[in-house]
Amino acid sequence: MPKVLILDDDPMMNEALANVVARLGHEPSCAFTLSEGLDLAREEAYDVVFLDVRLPDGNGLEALPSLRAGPGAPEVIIITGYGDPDGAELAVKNGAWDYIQKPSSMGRMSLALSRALQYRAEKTVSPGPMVLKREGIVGASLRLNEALERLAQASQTEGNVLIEGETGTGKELLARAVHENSPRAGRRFVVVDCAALPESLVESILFGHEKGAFTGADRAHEGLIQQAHGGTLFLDEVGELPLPVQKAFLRAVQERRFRPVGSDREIGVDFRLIAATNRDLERMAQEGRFRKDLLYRLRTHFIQAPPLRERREDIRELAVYHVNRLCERYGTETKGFSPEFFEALSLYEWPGNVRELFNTMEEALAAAGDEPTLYPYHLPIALRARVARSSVENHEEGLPAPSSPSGPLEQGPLPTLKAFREEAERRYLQRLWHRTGASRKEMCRVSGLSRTRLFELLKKHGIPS
Amino acid sequence: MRQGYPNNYTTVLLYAAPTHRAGKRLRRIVDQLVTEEHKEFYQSITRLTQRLRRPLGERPIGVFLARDADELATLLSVRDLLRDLRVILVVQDHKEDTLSLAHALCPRYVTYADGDLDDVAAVMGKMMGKHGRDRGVGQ
Repeated sequence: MPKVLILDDDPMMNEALANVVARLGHEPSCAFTLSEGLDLAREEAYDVVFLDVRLPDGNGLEALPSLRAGPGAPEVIIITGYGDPDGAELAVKNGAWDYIQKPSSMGRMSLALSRALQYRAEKTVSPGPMVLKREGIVGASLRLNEALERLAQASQTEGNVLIEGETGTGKELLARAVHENSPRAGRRFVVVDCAALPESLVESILFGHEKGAFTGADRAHEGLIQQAHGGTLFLDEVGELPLPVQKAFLRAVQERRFRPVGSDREIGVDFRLIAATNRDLERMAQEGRFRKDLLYRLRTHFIQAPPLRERREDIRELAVYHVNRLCERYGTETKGFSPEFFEALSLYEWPGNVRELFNTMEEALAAAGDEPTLYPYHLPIALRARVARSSVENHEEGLPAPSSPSGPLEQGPLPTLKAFREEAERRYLQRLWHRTGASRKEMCRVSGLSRTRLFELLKKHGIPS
Repeated sequence: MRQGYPNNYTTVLLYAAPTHRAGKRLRRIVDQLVTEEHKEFYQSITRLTQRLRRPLGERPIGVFLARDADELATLLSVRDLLRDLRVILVVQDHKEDTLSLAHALCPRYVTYADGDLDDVAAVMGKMMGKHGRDRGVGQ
């Protein structure tokens, strides 16, 4: 019998929803606070969680990843009385199944529940790929696994795929993995680096051209779209595609037909499209810098490549993987790692993501030379300086360093957990305020909080907004 | 581009026979775009492979001229060493088999040796403009 957890501080809502869940033949459990709900989700394998956003002891959205990490890896349906576009977006990006604004009919709630349970049932019986080929994709964090789950689903279909992620997060690896796990594996995987193509050449490179189509076109050339026939076309940095070319490309995506430059005949082509970007295409579309209709076409499947700071538990495995790979390449003995080396890596923010981590490993290896073990001393000075500064700031502000064995909790009487959390929250917000220069937009971006929630918290702690 | 703390330079590795017409043209392009200390020229795959087994710096660019399918296949045999490179590949002919081998290398740009190769100069310039540092680009 499917188990459903209802996490809402409103007793009437809890009772009404529990009745609906029970009538549908499922087993409901109720919690009224976040900590109570998280405890239940850690102990019991739930299939679905109904999660209120504003709870007495915290924000439900912030607990979403922890709930999803529970033993049942439940689908989470957000229920909120406060419509908040930023919150809805954050919820979906964090893997929520649905976002329902109260007041809403019980019919709407039960429909969302049924759909989520149907999805889980199909996911369980669906054979899927026996083993996902993921060469080069390293890690086992929740965020990476979410991306791989979507990748596995996308690879079994012919739909277009959009991969979004910051620079250095490995979007091309994900794209190749979609291709390698798809029925088109073994056929061509044609890369179009939109950021590297000069605007004047994009059209002829993509669509090809006839002899004499323009000055210098002394012979006919086949375009990359045609070269991808039967295989996969990967448009990297698709946000850089010039607007006039987007229009022609949209037709190629919709009709799988296009006209080479200077030609009077159309060519039919069979390709699977994967696109990647580090830009906010939704915003670009709103600002008229990217065609909305093309965006909608591109994202039949959507994969978010998570930044390294959101999958810190993968840092160690990634570092070991890359150092071993480099040692093999250079023909040198494999290196050992001191615990402090990993600790230093874990304290850094990695704004350049996995690419930056890999470059850093290469520099550390060069600095170590023949020495058998890597120590923080081998890391680039600038990185060590950042880590040292960050540690000192943590201590100055009374916050424990993330991996420090000692801290304020080691001295004096223990505060209540609630008081400790309140204090940590206040100090976090103070630091956020200073580091972002009090920019509201930056504070929201860095913290992942919605504007509404951020203002609430700033007000609560007496910090000027 | 590396973020967070100061980055390195962009190295450009050119693999091409200097006697080949397209090889000469590629050499001129690299000479025009890249400063002396950040460009390296190779005429044998063995020497190129030896170089690839040493640190390359950040986001290096490899410009490779493959004169025939055999040469492409040899490059493919060391593709694990090419994984960190942004490859610009110049192929000799327009045959389907050649193109299939070319795309198996996952180059960032493919073109043909029978053209004027101005496109290679433009693509390289754009790649270096986006990812290179001033001291690595001599333009």
